[in-house]
Amino acid sequence: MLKRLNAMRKRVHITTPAGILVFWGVTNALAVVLLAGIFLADFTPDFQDKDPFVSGYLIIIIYGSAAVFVFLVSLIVWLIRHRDPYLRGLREPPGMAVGATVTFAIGALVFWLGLAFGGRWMSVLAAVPFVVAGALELFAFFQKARA
Amino acid sequence: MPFRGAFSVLFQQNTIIAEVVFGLVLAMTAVAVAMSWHRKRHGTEPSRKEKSFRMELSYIGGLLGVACFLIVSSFVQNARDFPDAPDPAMQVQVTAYQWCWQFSYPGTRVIAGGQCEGGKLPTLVLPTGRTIRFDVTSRDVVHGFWIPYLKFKIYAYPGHVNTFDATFYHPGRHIGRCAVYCGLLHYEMDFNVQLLPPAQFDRWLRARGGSPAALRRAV
Amino acid sequence: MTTRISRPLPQRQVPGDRAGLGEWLLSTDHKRIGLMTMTVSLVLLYFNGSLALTIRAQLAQPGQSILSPQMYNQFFTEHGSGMIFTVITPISVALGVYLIPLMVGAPRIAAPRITLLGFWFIAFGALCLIWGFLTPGGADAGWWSYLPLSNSIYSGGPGEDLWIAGVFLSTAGTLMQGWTVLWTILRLRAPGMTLMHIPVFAWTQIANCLLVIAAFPAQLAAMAILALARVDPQAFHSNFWVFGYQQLFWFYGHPVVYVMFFPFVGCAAECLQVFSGVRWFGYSATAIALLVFSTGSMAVWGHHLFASGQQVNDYFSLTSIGLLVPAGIEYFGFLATMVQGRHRYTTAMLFAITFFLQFLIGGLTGILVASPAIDYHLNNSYFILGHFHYTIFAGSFFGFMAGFYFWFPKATGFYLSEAIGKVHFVLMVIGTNVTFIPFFILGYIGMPRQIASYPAGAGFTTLNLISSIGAGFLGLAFLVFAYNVYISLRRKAPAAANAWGGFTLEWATSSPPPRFNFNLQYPIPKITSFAPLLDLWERQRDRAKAASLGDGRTLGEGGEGEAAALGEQLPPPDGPAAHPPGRGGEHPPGVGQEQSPRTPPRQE
Repeated sequence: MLKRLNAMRKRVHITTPAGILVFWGVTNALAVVLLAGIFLADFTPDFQDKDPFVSGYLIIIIYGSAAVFVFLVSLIVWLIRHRDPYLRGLREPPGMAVGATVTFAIGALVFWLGLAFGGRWMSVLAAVPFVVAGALELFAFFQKARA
Repeated sequence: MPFRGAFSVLFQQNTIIAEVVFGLVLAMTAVAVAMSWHRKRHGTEPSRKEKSFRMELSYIGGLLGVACFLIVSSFVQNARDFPDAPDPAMQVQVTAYQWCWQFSYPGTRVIAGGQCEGGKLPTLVLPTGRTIRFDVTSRDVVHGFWIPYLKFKIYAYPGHVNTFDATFYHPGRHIGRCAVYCGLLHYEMDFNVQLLPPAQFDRWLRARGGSPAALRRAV
Repeated sequence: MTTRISRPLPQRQVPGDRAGLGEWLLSTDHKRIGLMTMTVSLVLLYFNGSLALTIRAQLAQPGQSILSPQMYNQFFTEHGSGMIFTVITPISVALGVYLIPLMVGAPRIAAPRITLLGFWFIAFGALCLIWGFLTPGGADAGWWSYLPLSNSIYSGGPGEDLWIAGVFLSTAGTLMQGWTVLWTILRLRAPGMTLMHIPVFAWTQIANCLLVIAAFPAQLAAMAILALARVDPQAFHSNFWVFGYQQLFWFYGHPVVYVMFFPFVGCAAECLQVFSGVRWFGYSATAIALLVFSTGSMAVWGHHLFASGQQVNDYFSLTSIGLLVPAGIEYFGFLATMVQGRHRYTTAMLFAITFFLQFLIGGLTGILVASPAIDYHLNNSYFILGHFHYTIFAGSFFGFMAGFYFWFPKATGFYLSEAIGKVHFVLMVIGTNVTFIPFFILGYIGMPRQIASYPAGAGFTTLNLISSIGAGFLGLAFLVFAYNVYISLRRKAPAAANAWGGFTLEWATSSPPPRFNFNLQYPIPKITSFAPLLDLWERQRDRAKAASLGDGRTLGEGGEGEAAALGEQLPPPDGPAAHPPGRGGEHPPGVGQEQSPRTPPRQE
């Protein structure tokens, strides 16, 4: 029986990128199902006056969405890589593109500082660094395309 | 209801298991150090066994066993804390606010409240030997209603009432504290809990203009 | 220009290896980004640590007012928020940013600009959090910032807004770095580096980054809700929003504490195996356990709300207690590896062993409060503070120190002083235990957390005094640590490529590594297991034995040449396990024999 378990273990290929994500997703899904089950069964409340939505349905929604989100972004990443195998190469981004990155960060900071200090109008100032970042990014993209 | 009992049973169980586990790990570490010293003294190479499926499996089995035991224990004691209780003998309304407490006895007009500053804490007077239903809520932010003697706390939410039952058995005086950070004077938001024998409690209630019968009927 | 990973660029053609602040701040080199993130976090560690020292000074006696209650509340808010959002969590992912490409044989991290953006977000986030101190009122809603306390009615002023901004930015930054680290492990490994050959540390980073990417977006949503609640408090005043925020917050708030754990287990595991001279025991079991642990960590957050009266307590009790199973498997690996080894008690090893022991105290107390009937009493008391300071500080931080002493030579090319390191270690052990053991008792006897002072008759005085004395030791320990870093960078005791006789790929390249991690002078060796350099050394040793026995076996595969070319990267010829015990001196013996030609011979 031990030998059969061992043999089974060797055949299970969770140690590939897809395997890891699938394993993780499945185990999370099992946890969500268990949560839903216990919530529904347990709903003669420990305490009284429990609100079923925030105590149960909401957390199932949050939990489920998190797992779905991970899969969604993994899928996007996989699709990007799948489309362009040459992204695997050793390409360094041009300086202008790096500048775009930092400008974008500054834009995010200005946006939040605006919310904190100056009301919404000050956050609008953040549009400036965002536009600059976008412009730098485009320039860098065309520069690369030409090169 | 038997919060104290459930707490001590579980706390003892868990503490014993925890001490045993820690002791074992500490001992194994000491053994490892000793074995390493022994190898160095005799110039032997370290052992190179990298896995043992059988050992791991039995060890995992052991872990699962401990986990199951603890889980069942936890379920049992949690259920014990909240039995399908018979109707309580009386009710108390606990209202938390920044930064003190108000206790009222429905069916009567008796209210105990205060400002909590300078050590002038409000006192929640309760009878022993009767099941009391607590309705806990807040007027503003989230607070926490904690009686360490009872080994129980519950949060006080605005716009929501949390209910629990408790029975006290021995007269005495205890402290209560706010258990959820609620702003500037959170640290001063304590209260007293005075437990009186039933006859004395009824006398106290009557002296405040309340009627014990009305209190019982209001449940 | 695209180059395949297996033929990295020669050293001299590589741009971006230049010095200068601008070169660092705009770098796309994952090593620089990782070091910058960790440096910012280490500075913040000292800042937030001094807040804690002040808190301990205040609590040493009842009824003190070193700080006004308003300021005290800001202090503990920033201490908790700063440590979690801008110190330990970014460090845990930044360790991966630095080490993972090296460990998996990649020339760079996936998406370097996103990684850099992550650093900037973390730095700006920290700026916002600290800025709060300069505003009237500041941020004083605690590190959870529960509604309605944190809305604009109960916490007016820009301080809380800055807090929300700071948390949002730093969380987003760490999220980005978590993505790129995971992406690198999954997609940029060198040929031969299968997922069962990545180092143990890399598996901990997989578990870590899965948590980051799954749970951190919930915090971004929670912060958005807080921001909206500050615009229109009445719309977010109902129990749905108040309790709903708590559910969303803790959905992030629990995984984040495992993010503050997994990589440090990895650090300790790497140190442990190298300084025991044996491979980590039960590698596959550890890998699976980490994945299960990672999932499990997503499913336990409700235990923070056991006392809320609105939670499905049984489910979360089940999952929380259930986590002891994967945790126990890690400990099995720890003990089995230690038992088999010949130990070298370097500072890193001492921190690694102590990590496992002290974290255990935190973990066991965690299992304790995973039963609601116990948590109804101990929730939000000093017992919980004891629990998490043991797991994160006496635990994870010790793992970080192990990794710091271990990889400092790799990152800088110089050793940290072992003598000063051991003083640092002893002070930390005394400090953490004397400070945090009293917390368990204080919580049990009824001291709530987040209180600016306590009354004299409450019975809390002696224990608080003891704890504050312990905090003094911690302050001293951190001074010693800073001194060690300073003096070691001045003294410049050179470290070889394989400074400790390490097993994994980062030790096959120079210290510090070249711009694209590996080059013609330091190529990636053959990857045959999760300890490729140990395999290499064993192959060389076996061949040498065969040759000296004169049994006529040829040295196959150009073995001799292979060994000679990689002579600097191998563990010392007398074997990593056969080291005589340290002379009590500064560096592991045998290291002097593997000087790379570019570093001068070590002067004693």
